Amino acid sequence: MPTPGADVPCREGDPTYDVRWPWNAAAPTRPAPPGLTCVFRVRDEARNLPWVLPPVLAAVDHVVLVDNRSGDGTAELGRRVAAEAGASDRYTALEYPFEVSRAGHDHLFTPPDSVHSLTHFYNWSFSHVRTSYSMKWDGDMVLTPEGVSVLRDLSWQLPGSGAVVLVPRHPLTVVDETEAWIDLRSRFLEPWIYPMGPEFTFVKAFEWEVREFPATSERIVAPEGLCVELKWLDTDEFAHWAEVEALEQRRVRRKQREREVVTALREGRGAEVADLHRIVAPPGVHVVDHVVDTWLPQARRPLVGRPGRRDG
Amino acid sequence: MLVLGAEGSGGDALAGTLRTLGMRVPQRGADPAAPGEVPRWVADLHDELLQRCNVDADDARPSAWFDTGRLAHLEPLRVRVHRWLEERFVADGPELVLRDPRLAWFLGVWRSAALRCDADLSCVTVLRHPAASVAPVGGADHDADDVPVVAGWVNAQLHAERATRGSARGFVRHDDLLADWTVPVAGLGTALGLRAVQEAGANDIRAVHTYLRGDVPTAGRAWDDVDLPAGLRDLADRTWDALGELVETPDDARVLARLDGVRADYTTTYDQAAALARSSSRAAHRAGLVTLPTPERAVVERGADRVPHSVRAAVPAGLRRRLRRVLDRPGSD
Repeated sequence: MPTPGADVPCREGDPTYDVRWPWNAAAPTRPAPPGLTCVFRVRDEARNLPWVLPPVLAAVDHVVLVDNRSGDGTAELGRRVAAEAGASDRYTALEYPFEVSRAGHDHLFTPPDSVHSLTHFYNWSFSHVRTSYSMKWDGDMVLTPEGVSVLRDLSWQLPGSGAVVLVPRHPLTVVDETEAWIDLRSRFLEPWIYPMGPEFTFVKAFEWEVREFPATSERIVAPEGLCVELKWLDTDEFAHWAEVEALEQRRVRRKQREREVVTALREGRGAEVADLHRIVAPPGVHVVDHVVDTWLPQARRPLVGRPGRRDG
Repeated sequence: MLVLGAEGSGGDALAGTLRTLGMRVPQRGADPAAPGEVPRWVADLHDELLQRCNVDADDARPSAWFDTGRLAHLEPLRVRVHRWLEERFVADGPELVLRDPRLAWFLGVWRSAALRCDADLSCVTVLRHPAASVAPVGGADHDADDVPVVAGWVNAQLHAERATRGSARGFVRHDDLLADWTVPVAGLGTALGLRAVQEAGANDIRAVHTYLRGDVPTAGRAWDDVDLPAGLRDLADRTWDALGELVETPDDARVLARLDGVRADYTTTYDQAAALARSSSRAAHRAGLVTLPTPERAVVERGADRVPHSVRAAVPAGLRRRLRRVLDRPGSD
């Protein structure tokens, strides 16, 4: 039985997991202080967090990490990384214990106010933000130093503007510690940074959730080369998808490209895929560090979309 | 190193000091017409960018920082500044000092260029009391001008401080530079690892003394003589006091929290003042509109419209429809 009084009571009736928006709370949490909070919803990201979390902690005012049934110690590792960065007071660790429907067919038939819905999961996670701006971020996205610089500026420039920010990302498939392939086929542009407020909540879409925002919101596109999305060739990147084949093509072009890349790399055909670039790290440097700290900062711009002008 | 600080704050004097000690001011030698220590290319770039985003160099609007920050996301601009900076490192050497009062508006672009050059970026802000920014006694009727000048100073100082957090940085009082420049400059050399300062020889030091003797600071007015609304004076005082504490400890968390509070209060004060003066700004906007030349006919005539109606009417209706289909144009008779 849903709990009365909550902004979005969950249909399972567990008040801990009702959504209570900060803008409806009593003072002194209103108005939200200016600043940017990054929200992670993660499962089994222990492998990536040591690369992902430190630059984000350096860039934003606060981090909320919501662990969803990880079995690899993600939550503990996140706390440790935040402590090592001296940022425990800017780090909120939460647990979301419910099985969440996979993107695609399962999601479509899950009611949006169920604790098993991606929509409710997102709204609940973002309801813990206390700053005026929030950023959705994935547990496999690694910021470059330039990315840290840009987000750090946005964290104080955005409040009051009402703008949303789209951040290009570059999938990086890691073969081993020295070799990786970066996909510069497209910018894979999505909005990641939004104001907090009733006009910017999550609603259900067909395959996943989407975040609403007014049509009049200014859209800022961040430069390329600010972040890579880690893919590991030895893991199944499509485990969280239901029936990839059945999804409507236009909305899943990105996923199809990912599968094309992974398949080609597993078959040793990476060099045959257009706009896929092999990167080898110098001895003693992990390839992820090499890409983030050296290769991307020095790569010739534009990174994406103009063949012949890229030399890396 | 980027030297920040308002015009007349002593930023030029600090940049000139560092140049005399061996750091390089890009293009200065090749550009003798450049005023002070500001390279012409940098001055022109900042002029162009401020114009593009409709921001004044001494803009008092807190929202102006969003307007200039938005430009920093343009990749062609980042590429342009990166290329210029890389060329300067090759041509001028590894320790560069850039000075322009407008630098703070575009710090994101310069930070990006430094990262792409694999250069360490540091920012030094020269602090001079806002009383030095207002017109001296005997100038034009200054009372009405003092308010926007001091508001611009507060806006610039508070947001430049916010923009430099996370970078290696230092703060220097103009008065300390005047009293004995060796103390603050030695401190910067140690804190920011400036080789030109750490390895300066006796001749370099003597040259700085000579250089600074020729630098006569502009006069301002006694702070008590500046007629300001109490709220703005309080904001300026709180800004000055807090920034002064950063000279010793540039990243003291308690001081930064105080500055966050002052910035929020300034934004509220500005928004209230702008709301109060909205009739004036609307009237100015209307007055500006009427000075624009009458626009030419905005809609380009269709080719068919140039044919007199009597001629068009003589074309049989069926042929007209076929012609429209060929031209892929919806028709109306």
